[in-house]
Amino acid sequence: MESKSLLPGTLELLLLKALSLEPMHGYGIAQRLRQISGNVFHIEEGTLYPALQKLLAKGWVAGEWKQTENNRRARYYKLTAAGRKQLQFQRAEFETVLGAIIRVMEA
Amino acid sequence: MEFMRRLWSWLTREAHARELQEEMQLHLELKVQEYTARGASPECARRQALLDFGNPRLATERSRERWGFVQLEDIRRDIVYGVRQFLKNPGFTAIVVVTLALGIGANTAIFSALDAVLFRPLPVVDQQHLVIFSWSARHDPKFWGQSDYGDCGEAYHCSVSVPFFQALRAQNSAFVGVAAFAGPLEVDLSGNGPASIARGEYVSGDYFSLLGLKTFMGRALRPADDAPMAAPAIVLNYGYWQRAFGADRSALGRTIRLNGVEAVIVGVAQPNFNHLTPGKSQDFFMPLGLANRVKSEWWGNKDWLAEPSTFWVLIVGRLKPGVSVAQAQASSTAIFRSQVVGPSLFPESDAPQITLVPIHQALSGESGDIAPMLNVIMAAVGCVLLIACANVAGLILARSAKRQKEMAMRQALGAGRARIVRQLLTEAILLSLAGGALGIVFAWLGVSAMTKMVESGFGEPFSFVIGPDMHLFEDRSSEDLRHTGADPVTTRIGVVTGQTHCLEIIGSEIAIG
Repeated sequence: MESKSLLPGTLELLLLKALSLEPMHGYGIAQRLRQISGNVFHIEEGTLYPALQKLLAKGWVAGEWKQTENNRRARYYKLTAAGRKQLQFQRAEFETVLGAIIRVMEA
Repeated sequence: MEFMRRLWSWLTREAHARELQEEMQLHLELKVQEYTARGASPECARRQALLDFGNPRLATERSRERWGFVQLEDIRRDIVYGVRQFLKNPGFTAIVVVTLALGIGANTAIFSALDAVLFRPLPVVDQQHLVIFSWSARHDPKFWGQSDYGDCGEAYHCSVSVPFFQALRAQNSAFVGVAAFAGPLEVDLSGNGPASIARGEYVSGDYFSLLGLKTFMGRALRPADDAPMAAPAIVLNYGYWQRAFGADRSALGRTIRLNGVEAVIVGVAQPNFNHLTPGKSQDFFMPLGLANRVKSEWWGNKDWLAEPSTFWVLIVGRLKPGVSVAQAQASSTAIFRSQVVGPSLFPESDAPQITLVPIHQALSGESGDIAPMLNVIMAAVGCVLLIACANVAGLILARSAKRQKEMAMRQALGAGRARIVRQLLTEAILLSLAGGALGIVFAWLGVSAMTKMVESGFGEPFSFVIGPDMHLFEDRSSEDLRHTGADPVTTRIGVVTGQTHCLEIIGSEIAIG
C-alpha cells in the first residue's frame, strides 16, 4: 500500500515520529517505517523526499551530512525542538480524528 | 524565521540541488543492495530499484517546490521567454504597445490638465483658512462704480472699496491678516527694450506675507511699498521675467516705466504662482498704493483709493484659529455697514452684509468655463482607451489562435492549466507595462502640445500650472523648473488606471482562449 491512501498529513506525522526515535537518513527512515508498521507502509521515494524537504523548510527537522556504516556520505535528519512540539500537536489531532472515526464505525 | 530559511535555500539553490541529487543517489544504491541481498540479479535489482523510484525529475521538482521559491524562478523564465517572443514578432509588439500607449497617454494628459484646472492646489500657505469677502444686500447700491476683473463667479459680489479694506485692516480682530488685490491692469511698460503692454496686478503691502509667497530673486512687496508716497516698486511674475527679460538676473534693481511712472524691479516671484484665481495670470505685481499714479484711462478723475463708492478690489483674509466664521462675518458686516450705509450707497433697509467664502469656492475665474469642457474630453478620451484595449485584445486573440500547437506541446510536457495561464498573464503584463511606459512619454508630449495650442489661441501664456506640486520652494537656482510637463503623481494614477483596464480586457480574452 502506498502512502497515497493515508489521510492527508499522516505522512508527516509518521516521519516526525520515526525521527523522534533516532536521527536517520532518507533510506533508513523508509526502512524503519516499513519495519515498524509490519510491512504495511511502503513509502515511495517520490513522496518521501518532497515530504522531508517540507519538514526542512518548516524547521521541524534539521539535516546533517554524516558518514554511514559503509563510509558513504548521507544526510541524516534530526528532530528539532520545534519538530518535537509539532509531533505532539499533530499526534493529538490525529488521535482526535481517529477516535471520531472509530466512534462512527462502531455506531 | 522560516522565511530566512527559504531565502537561504533559494540563494544556495545550486548546492541544494546537488545535495538532493546525492541523497537520492545513495538511496537508490542502498535499494539495489537490498534487492541483491534478497537474491535478485544485479540488473534485475537495479531495474526494480529504478522503477520504485519513479520519475527522479519529478521527485526533484516536487522537492524544490516545498521551498516555495519555484514560483519566482518560473516567473523569471516566463518573462525572459515572453520578451524573446516579442522581439521575434516586432510588428505585433509594436502595434500593441503603440495602441496601448496612445490610449494611456491621452488619458494621462487630459487627467493631468483636469487635475491642474480643477484641483489646483495653490502654492500658498495653509489654504484652508483663506477666505474671500463677498457682499450681499437686498438691492444694488445707488451711485456706485463697480469694477470686476472676472475673479468671482456669478454667485458672489467680491469687489469692495479700498476704504472698506483699510477700515477692515485697522479694526479687525477676527483675522490674522487681510490683503487686497485687483487686476490685472494693462499698462505701458517701457525701459526694457521697445515699449510693450504689460499686465500688472495691484496688491496691498501685506499680500505676499499673508499668503506666504516667496520670491525666486530679490524681495517681495512690503507694507512700506504701499504707503501713499512710497517709491514705486514692483515684483515680476516668474514666467514674465523669463519671457520679457530673458531670465536676466540683472533685471533686479532695474528701473522701468509704467504708464510713464518710474518703478524699480525689486524682486521676481516664486515660479509656480500666478494668481489666486485659476486661469488668471499677470506679468508683475505692483503696490495698491500706486493706483493713483498708475491707472487705467477709463477710471476718470475719482481717486479710487479713497472713494467708498467704488468697488474694485478683492479682499482675501486669513481667519484666526479659534475664531468661527460666523463671528468673523458679524464683525466684518459691522465694519462694512459703517462704511456703506448712508445716502449714497445702501439704505439701512437693504441690510448689506458680508459673507466669507472659502477661497476655492469664490474664485472660480475661468475654470468654471473650462471644467465642463474638460469633463467631456475626459469621457471621450476614456472611450479612446476602451477602443484601444479592445483592439489590443483582438490582436492578442488572433495571436493565441496561432499558438495552439505551442500550448498543446506545453501541456504534453506536463504544464498544468495554472502554469500556462500564468505564462500568458506574464506576457500580457509585459505588454501593458511597455504600453504604459510609452504612454507616459506620449502624455508628456501631449501636455506640451496642449499647452502650446492653448497659448497660441489665447495669445497669452497658459495660466494653469500643469506641473509637479511644490509646496516648499527653496530659493536656490532652480532655473530648470518648467511649467509644462506631466505631473508625476497624476501620471502614475493615469497609467495604473489605464493598465488595469487593459489587463482586465486582455485577461478575459486569455481565459476564453
